[in-house]
Amino acid sequence: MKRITVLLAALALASASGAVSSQSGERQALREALDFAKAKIYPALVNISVVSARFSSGRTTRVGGAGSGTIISPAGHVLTNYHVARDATRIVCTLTSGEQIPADIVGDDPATDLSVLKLRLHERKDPTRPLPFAMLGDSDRLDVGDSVIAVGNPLSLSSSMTLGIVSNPRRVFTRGDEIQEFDFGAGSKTGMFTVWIQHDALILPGNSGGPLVNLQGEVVGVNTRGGSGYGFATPANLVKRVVNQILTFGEVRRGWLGMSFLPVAKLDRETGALVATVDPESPAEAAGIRPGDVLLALDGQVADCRFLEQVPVLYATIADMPAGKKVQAEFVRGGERLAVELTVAPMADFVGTEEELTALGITVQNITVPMAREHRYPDTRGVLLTGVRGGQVFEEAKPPIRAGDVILEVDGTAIVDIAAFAATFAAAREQNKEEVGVVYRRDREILVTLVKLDKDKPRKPGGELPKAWLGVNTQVLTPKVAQALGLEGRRGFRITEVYPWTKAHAAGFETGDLLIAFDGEPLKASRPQDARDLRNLVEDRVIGETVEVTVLRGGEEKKLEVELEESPASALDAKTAENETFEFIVRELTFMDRIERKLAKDQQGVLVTEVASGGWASVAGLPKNSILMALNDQPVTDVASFRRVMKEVEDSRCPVVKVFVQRGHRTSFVFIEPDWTRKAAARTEKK
Amino acid sequence: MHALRRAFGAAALCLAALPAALPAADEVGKRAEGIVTARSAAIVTIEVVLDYKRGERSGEVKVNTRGVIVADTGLILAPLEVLSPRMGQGPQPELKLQAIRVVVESDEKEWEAFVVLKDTLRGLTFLQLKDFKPADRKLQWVDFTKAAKAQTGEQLVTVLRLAKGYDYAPHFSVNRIVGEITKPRAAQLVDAAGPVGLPVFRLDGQLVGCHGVLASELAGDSSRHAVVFPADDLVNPIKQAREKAAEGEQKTE
Repeated sequence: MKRITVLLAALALASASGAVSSQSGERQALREALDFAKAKIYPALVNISVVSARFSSGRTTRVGGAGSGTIISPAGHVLTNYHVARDATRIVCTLTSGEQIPADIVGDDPATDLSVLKLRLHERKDPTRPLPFAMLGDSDRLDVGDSVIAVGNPLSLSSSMTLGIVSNPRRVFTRGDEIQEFDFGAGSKTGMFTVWIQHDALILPGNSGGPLVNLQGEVVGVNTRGGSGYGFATPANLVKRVVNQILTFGEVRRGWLGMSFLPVAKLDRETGALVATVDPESPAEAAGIRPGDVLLALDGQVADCRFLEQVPVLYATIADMPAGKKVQAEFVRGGERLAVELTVAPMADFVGTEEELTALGITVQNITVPMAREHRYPDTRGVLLTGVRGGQVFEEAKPPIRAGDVILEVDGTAIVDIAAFAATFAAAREQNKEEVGVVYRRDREILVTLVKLDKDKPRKPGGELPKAWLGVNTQVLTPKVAQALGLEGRRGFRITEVYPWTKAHAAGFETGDLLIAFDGEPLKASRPQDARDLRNLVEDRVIGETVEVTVLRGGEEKKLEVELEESPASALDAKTAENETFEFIVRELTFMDRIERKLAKDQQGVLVTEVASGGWASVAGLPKNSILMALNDQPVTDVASFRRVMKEVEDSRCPVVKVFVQRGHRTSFVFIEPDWTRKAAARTEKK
Repeated sequence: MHALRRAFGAAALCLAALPAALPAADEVGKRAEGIVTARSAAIVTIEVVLDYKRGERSGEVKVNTRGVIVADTGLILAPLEVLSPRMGQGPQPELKLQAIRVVVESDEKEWEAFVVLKDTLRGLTFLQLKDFKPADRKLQWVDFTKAAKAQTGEQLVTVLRLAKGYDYAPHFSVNRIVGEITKPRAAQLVDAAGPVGLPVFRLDGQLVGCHGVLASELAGDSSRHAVVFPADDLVNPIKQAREKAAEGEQKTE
């Protein structure tokens, strides 16, 4: 019996050891597979740092952002998400080697949320050095359970890798029975053509645009969405089509027939696609197709949309048709089989171009056909007012005009797009008009308002009434303070501070002096409410008047003559300068700035009082309340020199502006990297 | 019965005293009316246009107030608060002065005006009609060098104007001096707050000073009281403001 037990134990041990050995082997195999994939993908991975322009409240603001991308060609093409690179004014890609290379947008496609960038290889230290790149794999071969790796820079934590499995290689998001599209910014829609790869490799903000990789190190998707433990990647085979179009045309060209579809499973049909919508003025409408028709075949191919997952494939098929192509559509209406010919039209951009017109203080957008359809505008005439900047001419229009209104006419001229709109205002300026009439549509109403062409600069808020001033601070000599100082029974004021560089300082006043008489009149302050008595006495005098102040110092009375000077100018009275390009305001250093900040009398520079959020200075991190002392190594001594040096900087259009600042006791540098091209594009600027 | 007779007697006395008091009230009204007639042309209506910015929100705010012309050159004394009105609770927005418009009496013309000086000590500001030439329009003004002292208990008349919607109708209010204060600075306490900056007159029509507010400067005491600043206190500031106004408007750069 004992022998049997020992044998069983030995068997169990042998079996366990076999299991351990097998697990260890699997782990080793996985480790090797990951190493292989990592070796393939890591060199091609980039961390993308962008500064993007956003339109908000009638102005352009800049925001910094980060995402991931993959180098996909030896020529330096980088694949990423549209929502990462959208409206970027500056893009810098950092390779896993640490090399940083600036990049430009080649083209983008909001419908699939993809962008293709091009690295500025000529700006590399060694442009001849070969560039690593990754290969795009076949996403159609992915199956549930396949291991996949998400690689990227989640939360800006560079070069991170997470492992998961494919949860569903053909995920379609639905709203009711329709394909759900997503707005990843700027009002564009993503998802109509996408059958997503759903996986559980952890992705977080910052992974966007990064690769989803198979264990062969091939890019099988672009990570685009994540949440609740799942990631969703745009499949590589769709990516390939988009990239090819962008590299060929600089844009994605799609065919359009003007129909939306639903699956036919609920109609108890095996094949076909139920026509849900027919857009007005579309090829489908022209061909007489109606909602309720069941499309059977298109251009000779069976319309196979029994399930919703098949609908994006049909949309992609139509999108792949070149504009102008004539295609046969076969369909069923009320049991009758019909056939019509349609001419494929080009698919219009969903979102129109948006621009800031700085001199008018507004942002406007061209109206596309899809926008007009969505907003139910009668047509695409005019420009959409998307934002009005406070305090600028449009904001002061009477009656008021606001974001969401469509501007139809300016100064009697019909507006077709932004270019026409800007040109009309420029023409009115050239004719020295003071204001123009603007006709606009708000909901169903057509309204007229008047807009001034120039805005008066804000008025100076006025300086402080000059008053006579003795350059000292004091405290009341209360009985207890007097007793503590051994001066029982004394009344008056004790000097707590003598301001440097003042006439009081020059006259020999010292901290600790007791002021006991003012021009022969005894000072009787002894209670807190007497604190203002000395100031009242001084302010009742005339600036420049000489007074005699009796002080008690070391037990001895001294009479000091001092000329009353003008009270120091307040910050509100200081000269200011606003730089509209970098969007910050400075003012001259006042006497009290020097005192409060413990600055030297001859401290040069200007005080940064305001840095507009989203402006170039803000993006660079120019600190408010710092003292700006030099720009591009040119000293800034005061407001006048700030203006002069700033003008030189703007004229030179240097790519990086080096700003020397002091904050507290520390000096530092801030590097502003503006986008001069956008400023050049401000078409309604005053000449 | 005797008591009842006594009560009747007292009531009869009261009734007999009433007709004597009523003419006194009429007298105040009559005198105030005379002051309105004589002085209301110096009281102007002011509209201040400010741009505000609070975080990402911005817009325009218009504030209406009244002021008094204090020199024939078009110098106006007005409340300082109109340039930085308190807007709601919490952190205050950043304000930029865009325009000041002044209507003299109920003229059609709106004068542009600019800020000459601010007297934060008294909560007053001096405005100047822009491009004003005395030949353009004869202005009635209040001369602060010609003033009298009012006694505690004395009634004072303030001349005011309603806004545009009421065609700038002039009217008056009556206050009474109820005390003298010396701290934080000398002023006369009045029984109710009046419009800061507007002049106050004795019933004989003599100028006393202007309405103001004094705040305690002691820590922990945030009390404020309506006062009248003596006209003498304002003579020098008006002189300074007049000189400064002659230099013209300081534009922002």
